[in-house]
Amino acid sequence: MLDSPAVRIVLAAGVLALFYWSLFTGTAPATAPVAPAEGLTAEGTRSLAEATKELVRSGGYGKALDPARKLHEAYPANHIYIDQLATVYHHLGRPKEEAELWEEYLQKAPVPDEACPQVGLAYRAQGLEEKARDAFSRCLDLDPSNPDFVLHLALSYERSGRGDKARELYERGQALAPGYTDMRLGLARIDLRAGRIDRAREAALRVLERSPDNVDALLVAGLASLRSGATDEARTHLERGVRLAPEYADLVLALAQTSVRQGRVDEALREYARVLELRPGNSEALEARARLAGRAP
Amino acid sequence: MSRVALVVARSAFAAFWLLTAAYCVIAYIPFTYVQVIQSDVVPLLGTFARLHPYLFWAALAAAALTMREDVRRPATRLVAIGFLAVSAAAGTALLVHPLLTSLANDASSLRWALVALVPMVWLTGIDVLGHGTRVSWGPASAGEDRRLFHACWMSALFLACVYGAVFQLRFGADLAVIGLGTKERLAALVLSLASHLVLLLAAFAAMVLVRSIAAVFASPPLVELLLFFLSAVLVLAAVLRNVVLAAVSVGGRTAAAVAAAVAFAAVSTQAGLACRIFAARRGTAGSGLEVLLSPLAPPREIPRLAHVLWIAALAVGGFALAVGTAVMDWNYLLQKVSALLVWLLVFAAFHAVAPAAPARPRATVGFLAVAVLSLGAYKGLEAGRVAAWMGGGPYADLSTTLARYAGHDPSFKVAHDLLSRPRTAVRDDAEFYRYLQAHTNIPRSVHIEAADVTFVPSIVPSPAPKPNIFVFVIDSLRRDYLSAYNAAVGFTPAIGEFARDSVVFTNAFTRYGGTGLSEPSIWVGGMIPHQQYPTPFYPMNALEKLLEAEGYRCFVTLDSVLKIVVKPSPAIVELDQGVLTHALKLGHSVEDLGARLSAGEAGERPVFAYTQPQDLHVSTITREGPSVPPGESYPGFHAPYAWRVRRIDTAFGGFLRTLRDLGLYDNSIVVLTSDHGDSLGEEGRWGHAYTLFPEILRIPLIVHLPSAFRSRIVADPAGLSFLTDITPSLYALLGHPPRPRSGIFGRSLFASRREDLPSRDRALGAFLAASSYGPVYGILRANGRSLYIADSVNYEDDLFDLTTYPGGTPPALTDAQRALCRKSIREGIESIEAFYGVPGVR
Repeated sequence: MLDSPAVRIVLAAGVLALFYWSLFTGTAPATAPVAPAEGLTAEGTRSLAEATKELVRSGGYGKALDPARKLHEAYPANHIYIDQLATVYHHLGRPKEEAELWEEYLQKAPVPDEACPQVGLAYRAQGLEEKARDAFSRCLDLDPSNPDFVLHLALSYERSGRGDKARELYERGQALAPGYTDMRLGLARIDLRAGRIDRAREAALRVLERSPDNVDALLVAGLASLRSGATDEARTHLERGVRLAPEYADLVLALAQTSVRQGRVDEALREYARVLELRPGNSEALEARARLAGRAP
Repeated sequence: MSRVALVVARSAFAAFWLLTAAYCVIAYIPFTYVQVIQSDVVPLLGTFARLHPYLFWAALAAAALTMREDVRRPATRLVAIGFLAVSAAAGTALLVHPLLTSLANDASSLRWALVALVPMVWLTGIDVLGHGTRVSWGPASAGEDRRLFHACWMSALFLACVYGAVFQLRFGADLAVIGLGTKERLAALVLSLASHLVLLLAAFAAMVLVRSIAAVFASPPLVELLLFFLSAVLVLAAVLRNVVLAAVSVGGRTAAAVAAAVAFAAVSTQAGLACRIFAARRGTAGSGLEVLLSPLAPPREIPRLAHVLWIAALAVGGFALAVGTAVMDWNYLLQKVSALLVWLLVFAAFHAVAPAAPARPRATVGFLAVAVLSLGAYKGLEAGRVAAWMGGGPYADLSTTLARYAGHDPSFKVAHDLLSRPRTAVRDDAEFYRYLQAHTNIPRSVHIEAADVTFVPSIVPSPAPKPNIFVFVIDSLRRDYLSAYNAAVGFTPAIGEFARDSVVFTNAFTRYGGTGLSEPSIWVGGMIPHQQYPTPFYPMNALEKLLEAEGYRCFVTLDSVLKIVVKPSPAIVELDQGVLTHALKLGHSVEDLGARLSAGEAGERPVFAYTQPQDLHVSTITREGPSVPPGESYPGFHAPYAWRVRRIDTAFGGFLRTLRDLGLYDNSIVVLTSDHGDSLGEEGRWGHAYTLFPEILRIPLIVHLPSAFRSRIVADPAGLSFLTDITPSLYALLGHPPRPRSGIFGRSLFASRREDLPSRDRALGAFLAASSYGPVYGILRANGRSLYIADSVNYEDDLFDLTTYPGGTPPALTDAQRALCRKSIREGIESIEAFYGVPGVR
C-alpha cells in the first residue's frame, strides 16, 4: 500500500500541511504579556483612544476625563493611557490623582523617566515638597546624565533651604551641560543667599552677556546690585526684567525693595500692590505696604 | 567540451545577461538611478556599463564555444545560427549605441531589463531542442527518497556548523562587542541547527510530494524534472520579489513580473545546461531533481575525495561570502542572497554524495516521521524558550540574543526570518504596510509640482553686516565618534576645540535615513515628498532663496543630489569640480574652498559654503579597504571609520585655521553635522541602506556663532533638534524670524527669548522620520528618547529605548502603542502630501 503514489501524496501533503500549520499559522509567540481589555473591543479601544487624544489635543480636558479613565481601567498596564489620564488630571488641577498616576507610570512604562519631572511637580503642586524631592531624586536615579532632572532636584533642595546639596547638584549639572544657564543661575542664587554677592552678580552678568533677556539672570543681577548698594544698577536690571515678564512676582517684589531703598515711596506702594495682585497674601508685601502707608505724602 | 568548461562558459554568459538586467532595473528605480548610477557609488557597476559593448562580445564568444554541435545538428542549426546572427547584430549595434550608459530613469529601462533575459531563454530553447530530447529517461529511482532525506539533514548540519564556525572565527575574541556570552551562543547554535533542520526537512517533504505526483505519470523522472523546474521558478521568483526587489522599494505587479521573468530565465538556463550534461552521459536518468541539479555539483561518479574537496571549498566559499558581503551590504540583502546560494550548492553537493541504495516504501514513511519529529523538537524548543522568557527565567533576553546572533550568521538569519515571520498578523498590518509602500518612492510618472517653500512672506535684505556661513555635512558621520559627544574619543582634537567654542546640540536627529532625501531636506528646511525628485526643485529650496536675497557668494560642492536641488546661478561657484560624488573628500573640499577664499573670489560679498564629503561612506571604506596606517589603533572603535574621522578632524581643523588667518572665523556661522549616521556592526548591521535604526537617525550638530550674535540669542543644546532646523535657524540668524507654514518644517534653534525655542513644544511631540530609499518609517517620541520603526520591507516593527540603546533589552511594544505610533506615521505622511499636493494614493 505504501508503494501507491496516492498514499505517498497524501502522506507527504499531510506532513507539509503540518509544517505549514505549526510554523506559519496559529498564534505567534507573544512578545509581552498583554493586559486584558475588559469590556472593550479592539475597535472600541481604537475609537475611544482617538477620541480621547483629540479631546486632550483640543484642550477639552473635562470631557476627556471619562474616556481616559475608561481606557486606563481597561488597560491598566498600558503606560500610554496612564500618561494620558495623568495629563488630563494635571490640566484639571487635580495634582493628587496626577501624582498617583505618574507613580504608576514609573512602575509600568518601558521608558519610565518620561514621567519626570511631572511626578515631582505634581507633589509640589500639593505642597508636598519632601515628596517632590524624593520623586526628583528617583528620576535622577533613572537617568543620572539628564541635566533637567539634576536641575529639578537642585531647585527642590534650594527651596528647602539646603543650599549645600543644591550647590553640589548645580555644579554637577553644570559639568553635564556647560551651556545650561539655569545651573549657573542656581549657583548664583546660592552665592547671593550666602552673602557672596560679587560672585553672584558676576555670574548673572555673564549669563546676561549671552542672553540679555533672561529674566532669572536679571533678578539675580538686580538683587545682587541692590545688596551691594548699587541701587541704580539694580533698578535698571529689575525694570528690564519686569518689562519682559510683568507677571514675575519676585521681580516686582525686588523692584519694590529697590524703590524703598531709593526713597521712591509712591512707586514702591504701587509695586507692592502689584505683588499682592500676583501673589495674594504675600506677607512681605503686606507688611511693607503697611509700613510705607504712613510715610506716603 | 568538458563539463567544467561548459558550466563555466554558460555561467559567464548567464551572469553577463543577469547583470545587464539588474543594471537596467537599477536605472528604472528613481533612487537607485540617482544614488547608484549617477553618484557612481559602486564604481565596478560603472565600469561594467562602460565596458558593456565589449563584454557582450566576450559573453557571446563564451556561449558560441558551447554551440559548435548545435550549429552542425539539423534539429538546431537554424535556431543556433539565428541566435548567433541576431546576437552579432545586437553586439554591433551596442558598439555604435551603448545601451547601459544611455539608460533613462523611466519605464524604458524596465523593458530593456526584460529584453536582456531573452538571450538566456533563447539559448535554453536550443539546449532543450538539441539535447533535451536525447536524455534517456528510465524508471523512477527507488533510492531517491533516501538520498533526498540524507542530503537534507546533512545540509542542515553542515550549514549550521559552518556558519556557526564562521561566527566563532570572526567574533570569538570580541564577544563583548557582540554582546553574546557562552550561554547565549550555545542557545543560538542549538536554535540555528533546529531551524536549519526543520526548514530542510520541510523541503524534503515537499520534494517527496513532487516525486509522488510525478509517479502518477508514464515517465516519472521527466514529469519530476518539469515539476521541480516549476517549483524552482516559483521559489526563486518569491525570493527575488520579497527579498531583493522589496529591498529596493519595487513592489506590486512590476515586482511580480520582473521576479517571474528573471527566475524563469535563470532556472531555464540551469535546466538547459542540465539537459546538455545528461544527454552526454551514458545510461538513463531516474531522478528529475538529479538532472536539474547536475550543473551545480560534481558528478556522482567522481572519486569521493573530490566530493569532499568540493564540500570543503563550499565551506571556505561560505566563509568568504559571509565575511565579504557583511562589510558592504544593503540591510543583509547580499548576505541573505549569498547564504541562499550556498544553501543551494550545499544541498546539490550532498545530494550528489548521499547514499542512494534502493529503499523500501516503508523507509519514506520513516523519513517523513523523522521530519515530523524534528518539527516537534523545534516547536518544543520554541515553547520552552517562550515559557522561560515569559517567566523571566534565565533566558529572559533570548529573543534579543537570537536577533543579535542572526545579525552575524546570515544562514541562520535566513532561517530565523522565515520562521519568525508574523503568524496571525494584526488585521491592520497588511493594509498599513501596503499604505507605506504606496507612499514611498513615488515614481516620476506621478507629477508633483514643487511647492513654494518660504519661511517668511518676503525677504527684505537686512542692512546689517552679514556673517559668513559654512556648512559641513559629513556623510554618515556618527556623533559617538566625536569627542564633543563621547568622552572616550581621543582622535578629534580640532572638532573638540571647535565644539567648546560652539553650541553642541546633544539631542539631534535627521528626519531621513540615507542621503537621497536627507540632503535635500537640509536645503528645504523641512520634510519633502517621497519622490526623487520633484523637478524643478528650486521652488522648494528655501535656503537658496535666502542666500540669493541676501546676496551671498556661494561655494557649493554640487554632488549628484545637489545638481538637482540647487538651481544653477552665477552666484554659485562649484567646489570640487570634476570630482565624482563618491570620491568627494573633506580634505580636498576645504583646500579648494580655502584657496578660493584666500584668492578673494568672494569679493566684498558674504560667503556661503556647503560641502558633503564622502570620506566615511560605507562604499568609500569598502572601496579603499578596511586597513588603517601602521601604528594607528582605535580600541573600542571601528578602526577604518575612526581613522577617517581623524583625517576629517585634521582637514576641518586646518580649515578653521585658514578662516582665522583670513580674519573670517569670528564673523562666521560654522555648522558641522551629518546627513545621517551609520551602522558599524550593531547586531551585524553595516552601512545604512533603507534602515532607520537609532544609530542612523542620531547625528552630530555643532553650530559656531559669530561672537556678536552670542549676547543676543539663546539656544537649548539639550532640546530635541533636527537637521531640518538648520535652514530656519539661518533665517533667524540673518534677521528673518521664520514662520513655518506647517509642522513638517524645521524651526530655528536660536531665538532671542527662551520661550521661542522649539525644545519645550517638542518635548512631548511625536516626529516622523523616514528612509530615503524604502518604505521604512519611524516615530520619535518622548523628547527623542523613544523610537518606533515600521519596516514594510521586512514586515516588522520595533520599539527602541534610546536611553539604553545599544545594549539594553528592547522595551515591549504594546498593541496600543503600536496603533498610536502608526497613526502618527500616517498623519505625518498625510501632512507632507497635503502640503505639497501629492496626487492621490497609488
